[in-house]
Amino acid sequence: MNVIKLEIEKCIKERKYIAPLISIVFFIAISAYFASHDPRGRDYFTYTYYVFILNCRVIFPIIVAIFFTNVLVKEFEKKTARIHFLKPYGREKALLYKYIAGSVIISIIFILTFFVYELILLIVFKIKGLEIFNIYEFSFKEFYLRAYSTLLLQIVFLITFGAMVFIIGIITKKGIITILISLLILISEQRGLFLDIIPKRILFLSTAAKYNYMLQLDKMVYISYLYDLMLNISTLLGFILISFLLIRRIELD
Amino acid sequence: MNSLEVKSVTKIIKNKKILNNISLEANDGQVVGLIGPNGSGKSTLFKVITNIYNPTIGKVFVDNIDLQKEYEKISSEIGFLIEEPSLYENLTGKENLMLISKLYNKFDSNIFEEVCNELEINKFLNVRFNKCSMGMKQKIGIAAAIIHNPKYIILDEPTNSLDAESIIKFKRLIKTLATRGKTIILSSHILSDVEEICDKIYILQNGEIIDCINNQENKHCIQYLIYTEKFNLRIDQIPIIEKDGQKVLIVKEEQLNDILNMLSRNNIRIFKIQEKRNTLQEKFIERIGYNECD
Ligand SMILES: Nc1ncnc2c1ncn2[C@@H]1O[C@H](COP(=O)(O)OP(=O)(O)OP(=O)(O)O)[C@@H](O)[C@H]1O
Ligand SMILES: [Mg+2]
Repeated sequence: MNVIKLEIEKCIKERKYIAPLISIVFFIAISAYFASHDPRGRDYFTYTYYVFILNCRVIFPIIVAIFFTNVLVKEFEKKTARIHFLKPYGREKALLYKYIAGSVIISIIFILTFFVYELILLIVFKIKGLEIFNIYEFSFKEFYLRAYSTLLLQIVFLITFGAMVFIIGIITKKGIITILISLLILISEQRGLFLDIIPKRILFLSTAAKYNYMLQLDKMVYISYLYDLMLNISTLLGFILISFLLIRRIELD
Repeated sequence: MNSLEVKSVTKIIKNKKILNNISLEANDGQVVGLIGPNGSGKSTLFKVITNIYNPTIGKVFVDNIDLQKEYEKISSEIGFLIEEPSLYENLTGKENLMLISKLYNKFDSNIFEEVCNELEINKFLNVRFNKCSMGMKQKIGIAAAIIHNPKYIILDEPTNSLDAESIIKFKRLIKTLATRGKTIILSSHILSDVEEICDKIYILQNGEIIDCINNQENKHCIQYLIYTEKFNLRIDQIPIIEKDGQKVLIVKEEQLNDILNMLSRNNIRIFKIQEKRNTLQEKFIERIGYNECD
């Protein structure tokens, strides 16, 4: 616990959060601009989630790839991996603590973004005199349940993606290559290149934006949602296991 | 009993044999030196000793613990500086040192203060590490190797880019640490420094240990050169050379009295007697075999 705190402190002191924060501010600004020009005239809440969750497919994974690469691969590039992974609690735990610290920071950043974004759009919609909420298919409570469960899934997806970035980082030990490979995987998935090899049902990447239309559904299919959540979590555990096996074998220089 | 033992370590990187069957030992309170030409494998050997590299063949034991298998048990007892300091660039010296001692769970404000005072790094502890000069970085790097009060201290060329005064203080610090029972292994290209502080010196060449010098003995091994007039006597076991029409007898300390008596008995004139210390540099040159050097 103490070590995770230290690791988070280190990330903060090293200003690792700056890159994701800047890109997110950028994202909020652009989205807010487009929100006020939405041609389809959706109401505020629908729009918020629509845009936010759609971004889980593209912008957020890119931010996650850069952030997690920064957190891990910098240690190899700057040779600080020597002190980081040669600790009394062993390489696996050093890696795990790092991963947890990174996940905590990235989750906080996303949850913050979510609420700030919502707030900004609320103001924009108010100023423009647009519709704030338009209960057309389900109740307000149902709406929030859907919205937050989707947010949770997206965060789990993003940190699973982060675990994948860690594995690539451990193997390549090079920042640029790690980011490029991660993005390549992301793009390949979106072009459907993996579907020949891995069935969609067990590919965590395909859950990225599955629920971006959830607001239009009559009923959110919670069974399918839970399946996707479990798929992400088990993939995440698998990734962590693989990275444990790798970190023991690599040399720290 | 040896507290640090390298047993027949071979390290192959990319099909190249960097270390070849290296064995090395260091006892408690001993300062062990490692010297050798550029590229002879000193840093690589240090990386194996600190578990940064895994040996291809062979084992490293620290306190009888197999480093590769049970590194976690001993890790907080090992401090190191290999090649350049491996510290976080965006943190200050102080933050870096605090981080290390906390990660090892061995933060002690007394030791922290003592190390900072000894190395005189207080002035720039609050400077961001990437804004430090070479020497400042090096000093913080040395501090980082000892800040958690480890029993084994591995220093690869620690005096690099230190100023003259700092080198003297550093040597004093090493001697103090050794008297407290720390085992120190260091490398350096400045042979006089190594000779001054090390008890035992290994010479490394092309990834192999070609000699191990017991410095204590080496220091006391003094020879005398006796310059005399020419004579025809045969003296057993004493090397004699001729130089500028004089004979020069190379005599060990314990033989000196007998030889002088014998010379005066035979009425052989002595021009001068010169003391010749067997320096590490001479020994090094002799072993490495630079013929062109004097
Ligand atoms: N990661 C690596 N990959 C390939 N070769 C390496 C690697 N690290 C070291 N070497 C080679 O191993 C040999 C020994 O290198 P090492 O750095 O251990 O020498 P050294 O004795 O520390 O030299 P110096 O006095 O210059 O510091 C060199 O020939 C070097 O090229
Ligand atoms: Mg070296």
